Amino acid sequence: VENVSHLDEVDALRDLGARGVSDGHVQVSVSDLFRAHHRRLVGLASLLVDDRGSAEEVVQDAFLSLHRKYGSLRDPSLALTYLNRSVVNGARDRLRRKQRFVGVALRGRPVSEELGSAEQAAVSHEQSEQLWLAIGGLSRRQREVLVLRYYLDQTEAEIAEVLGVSKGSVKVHASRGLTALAHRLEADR
Amino acid sequence: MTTTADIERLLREALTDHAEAAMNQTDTQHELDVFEAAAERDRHRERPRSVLALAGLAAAAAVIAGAVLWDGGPTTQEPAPPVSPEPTRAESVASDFLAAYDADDRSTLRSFLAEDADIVTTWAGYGGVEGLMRSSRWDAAFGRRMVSVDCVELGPGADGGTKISCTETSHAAGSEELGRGPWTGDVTFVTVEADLVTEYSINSASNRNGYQEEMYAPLDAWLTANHADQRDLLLALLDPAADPDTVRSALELWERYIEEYGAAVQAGEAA
Repeated sequence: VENVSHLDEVDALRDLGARGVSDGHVQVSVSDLFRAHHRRLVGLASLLVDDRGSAEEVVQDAFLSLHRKYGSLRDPSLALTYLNRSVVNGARDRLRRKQRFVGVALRGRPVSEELGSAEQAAVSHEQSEQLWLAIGGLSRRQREVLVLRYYLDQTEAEIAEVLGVSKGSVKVHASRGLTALAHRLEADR
Repeated sequence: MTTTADIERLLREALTDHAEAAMNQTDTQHELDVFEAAAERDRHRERPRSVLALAGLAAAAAVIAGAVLWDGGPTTQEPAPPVSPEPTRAESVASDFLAAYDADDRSTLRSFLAEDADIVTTWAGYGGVEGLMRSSRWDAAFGRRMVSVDCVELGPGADGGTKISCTETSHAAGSEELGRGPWTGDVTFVTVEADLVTEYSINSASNRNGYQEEMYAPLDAWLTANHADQRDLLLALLDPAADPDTVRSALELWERYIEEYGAAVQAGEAA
């Protein structure tokens, strides 16, 4: 278990991205990116889907997609933007296909419920947990905007680019999302 | 009264808590292995390679492999057949090991394992040789059956030997009889050294290859509707300390319920 904050890892990607790649070394470079940023992206994805397993799959898909396109990227430093966007889009697709049943199967069978409870155990702070539950009640777009704004510290312009919407739309979703969270917290008191 | 600043602070805290919990539980090295195996498969799609198929399905697999490999390839009037290099020794050991697992041939399975083999199953807290043996029994009772397996060398293992990635295509829970599946993408990683398996772990694709939606969810719903009272016994297999009688009863129950489910689907009484 590595207790490294996602914020410690952000600069490393820029460094790796700026290093660039040469033909024939795509795999090595994307693997480097993977080592440096996998955990951070799993963290990001976990905020947009409902379980860690799905988050890991979303991140796998994002890196595979990057791997397939890396050679044609004109600017390797854009890899960070590409990965963030892939994770957000992949998480959205995953939620659309959200399963309707509680049991989670691996290799066709149910897996111990201990997995789910262990994931929840880390979120111990009462208010933090309360707010996390409230985040689950937001619209998909509100949730995406708030995660990008308050977890990745992205600007409205960056969020607009990742989500493919206008800056005005980002502002509206952020405002409505915060209001909804405030109402939920007040109602729970 | 909660201010906007309060909400923003709590929001950052909640997001960071939740994300870091996920970050601290993920295994980046394992996930990197999965990624590199998938990238390797991508590269293999671009050049001819044999598919190691199980007995009885080799011909069909070869046809499929040929069709895929030549799709979009160089255009010639008479394309040469795909080259099928012999699998390496380590790849053969890996595919034979998985064939023994698939057949629930536990004595052969054990014979492939190095004395101190590092085995990680999908079950929380239950790995090791006995976890693998129970997994083999459960998969057999569950009707999981490999259709084909494609084993590819990834390179040297971290502690010696050769790391192999095996991508499986399989049926489960009577899916073939119901006209569903098979599903592809479960990946087993094994490290082979001196013809013995020294490391074993798996990465399931069941959440993303359609299996969950097409097969497990309807089965799960049927079990919940008809046999919820047996849930504890069915899941006793996850308990390393379950006694042999309980394990046997649970396996028999899985086998019976899967048969019942198949009959219910055929009779139009279940989805």
